[in-house]
Amino acid sequence: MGASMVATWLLAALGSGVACGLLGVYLVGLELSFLGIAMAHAALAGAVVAHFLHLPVELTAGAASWAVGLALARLAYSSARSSLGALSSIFLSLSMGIAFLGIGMAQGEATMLQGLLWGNILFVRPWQAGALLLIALAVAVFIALSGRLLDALIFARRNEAQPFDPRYVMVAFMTLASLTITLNINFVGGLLIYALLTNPAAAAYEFAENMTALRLWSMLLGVLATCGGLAISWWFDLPTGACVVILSALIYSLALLPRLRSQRCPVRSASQS
Amino acid sequence: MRACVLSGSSPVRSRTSIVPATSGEKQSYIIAVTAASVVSGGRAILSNVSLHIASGEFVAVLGPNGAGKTTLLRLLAASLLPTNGEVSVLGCVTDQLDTSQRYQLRRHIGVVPQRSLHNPLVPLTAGDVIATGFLAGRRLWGQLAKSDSARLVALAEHFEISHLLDRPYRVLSGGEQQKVQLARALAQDPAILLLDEPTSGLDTAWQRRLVELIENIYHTKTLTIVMTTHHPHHLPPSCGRLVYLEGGALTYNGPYDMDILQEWDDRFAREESPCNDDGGECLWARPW
Repeated sequence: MGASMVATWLLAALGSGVACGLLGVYLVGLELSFLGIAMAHAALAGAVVAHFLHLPVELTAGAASWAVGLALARLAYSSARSSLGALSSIFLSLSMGIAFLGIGMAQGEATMLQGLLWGNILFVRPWQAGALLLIALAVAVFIALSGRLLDALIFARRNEAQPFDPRYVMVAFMTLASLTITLNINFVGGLLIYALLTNPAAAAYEFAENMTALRLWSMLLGVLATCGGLAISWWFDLPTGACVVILSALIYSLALLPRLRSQRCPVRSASQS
Repeated sequence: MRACVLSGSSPVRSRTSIVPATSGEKQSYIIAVTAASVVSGGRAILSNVSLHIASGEFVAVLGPNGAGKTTLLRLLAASLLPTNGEVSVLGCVTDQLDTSQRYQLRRHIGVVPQRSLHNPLVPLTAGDVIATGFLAGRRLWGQLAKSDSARLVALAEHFEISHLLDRPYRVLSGGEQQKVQLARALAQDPAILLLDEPTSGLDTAWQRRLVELIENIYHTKTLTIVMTTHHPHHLPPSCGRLVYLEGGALTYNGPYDMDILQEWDDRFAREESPCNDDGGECLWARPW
């Protein structure tokens, strides 16, 4: 195994952890974890369709994910009666149906397509690692410049107090999220990427007391999950995506632990106060 | 004739660059609601409401829970369009504006929503919340200018909340949160301030402090204020006009009158839980 290969993996893990950690803050804050899932599975379906139609895999997967993200963001600000969770579930099941149909029809090439499901670090090429780093940088710059707008969106539950048009910042956010998800398909896999978008951010929300700390912790925990998962998978010769996701869930459990231990009976606390 | 406030600011489509009000009577008003109805799920939330508010007026909208007060405020904030009728705010007929223009109009409307309408998961500090008021009209640029930061500090000093700026909003008391929300709404330098039950759920001392603060804002800023409440005794003395909504219909629209307020207060006291006779909500009586 060459040093350049290990460097590629590490750079991919770093880029993936930073981008997913930062984006996750807003997906979790908007209570749109299902949106991340729907976008991830749309990318997966797009990749499978691209395989059959001999289209560029990354481009088609990215376009599918972007289209679903924008459609859901649009529906979030529409008068549709279904909740965004229900709408995301509809897109999710449709995407999974297409993906599994394609995988079922592939027969001889099923292994390659299953790699899209679970991710395979061996499939990550140097340009993809570079692209993951670039997208992480783009996400960081975007949040540095537009973070207050996103903060306002996740803070206000209803829209009428917002004095700005949220559509521009949402389109930019969805574009970066779809790119991040698409580039992560080979690393974590289309089936598990949403966990990386959710778990580190959810862990950071458990203890962060301001937005700067929240973003930093989410990013650091994302990197810990990706790099730690990569190390575990390499050491024990296990699937990378699964290791990354299990580690991220473990991190969330650890973040939750102090809160569970300090929990008191709410009725008693209320009466005492 | 009042021209739409958007005509002199950001570029707008020529179709609605100036939206003239259609009736001669309402053209001098900053807010003109004409026979507006809102129907949702086959149920009328507001029925045929007409209301005209002049610049600089302080109007209180009263009524029991479910009377349509918040819906009326949403119409005035241009975040809801009437099913029938017409709503004109700052000279702009809201249903003739496209979505972008409605957001531009909202730059000039400060809204203090009900207290429960924030996400308690998000650890924004009080300073962060006030800063969102400076984002009025922004698209992607979320940085504060130096002048904005200076105004934020000045607003915090004016509202006596400087010591709260770095504290998470979610740990503040209800009264402190409302002060922060008022500062946020004023940060966008609005022409109209809409207050949705600002004293609801606060203890008596905080209710009094908030009412004094709203009174102070009205006297020191050039603002038109519309405030909803279902507690008649929560009105600042400057309130010049009362509007009463019941079942979505406007049943009273007239000058501030102590006798009428007393009558409403007695009616609310009978209809609501007996434990709120101190003027506050009876928190312990809630089923949760």
